[in-house]
Amino acid sequence: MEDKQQSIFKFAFDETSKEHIKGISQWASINAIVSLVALGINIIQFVMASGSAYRSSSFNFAMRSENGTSLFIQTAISILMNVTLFTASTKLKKGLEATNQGMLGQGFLNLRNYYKIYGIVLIVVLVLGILGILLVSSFRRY
Amino acid sequence: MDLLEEDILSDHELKIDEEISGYLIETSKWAKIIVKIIYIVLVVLILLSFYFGFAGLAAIATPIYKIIGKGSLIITAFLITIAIVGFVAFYFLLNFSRRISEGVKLKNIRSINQGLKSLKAHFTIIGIILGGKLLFTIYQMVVK
Repeated sequence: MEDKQQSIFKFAFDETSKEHIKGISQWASINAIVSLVALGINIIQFVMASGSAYRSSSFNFAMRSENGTSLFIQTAISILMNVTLFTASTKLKKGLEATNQGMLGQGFLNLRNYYKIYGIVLIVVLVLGILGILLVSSFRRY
Repeated sequence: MDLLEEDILSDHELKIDEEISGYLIETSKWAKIIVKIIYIVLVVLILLSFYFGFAGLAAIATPIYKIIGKGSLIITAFLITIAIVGFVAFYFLLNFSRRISEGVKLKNIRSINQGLKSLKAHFTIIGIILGGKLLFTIYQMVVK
């Protein structure tokens, strides 16, 4: 009964929610930082491999250029997603620490944006994957 | 005085207002879409693992392809492990989506807390996987 009364008259984050939001913020920032570091390592590996491919043959270099385009797209999406996640994490943390309603709202807005980008990217990848499978299977017929 | 004090305290609370409720609902909708897509991919992964598994079992019976068969079974085990971890990680995201939409609609803080707890668990699992992957990449770079 008390819970019901609380849910009707007072709809606010309690201590448990704050604890969970703090945990979300911590893990979200760890995820974003780790992803960005991994991306940096990927780029370094790619640049190093491209250098050796350029020295070996022009065919290898052309193959690398194609991979470079896909890496560029991946990098752009990854940076956009992880910066959004990191911003969400920072704002959620600041909002909690300062008990700032506006800042917390911005944190949740950024979290929504992160999942929106994530969803759109997955839909595009899924559609491209299905199209790719259809294309390959239609070529195999001929 | 007590009432005044209560008013002042309530001003310092973090309310789940219309704005935050809207963001939470939209986040839960997108999370549900993501989980559906990921689950489709994981089902395909499991089917693929069965394909490799059966091919591996068939190959292992013949002496010439024994090594290839063992390789296929290792791939199967790897794919199934990925699928199980993926199912668990994204189950928490699905739970977040369900609990949050329920909590916001019914204005029930307990459901919202359960949802937030699930999101924390999801981020924790993904964080551990990403950390492990990063360490493995660094190890590979050092060994090379």
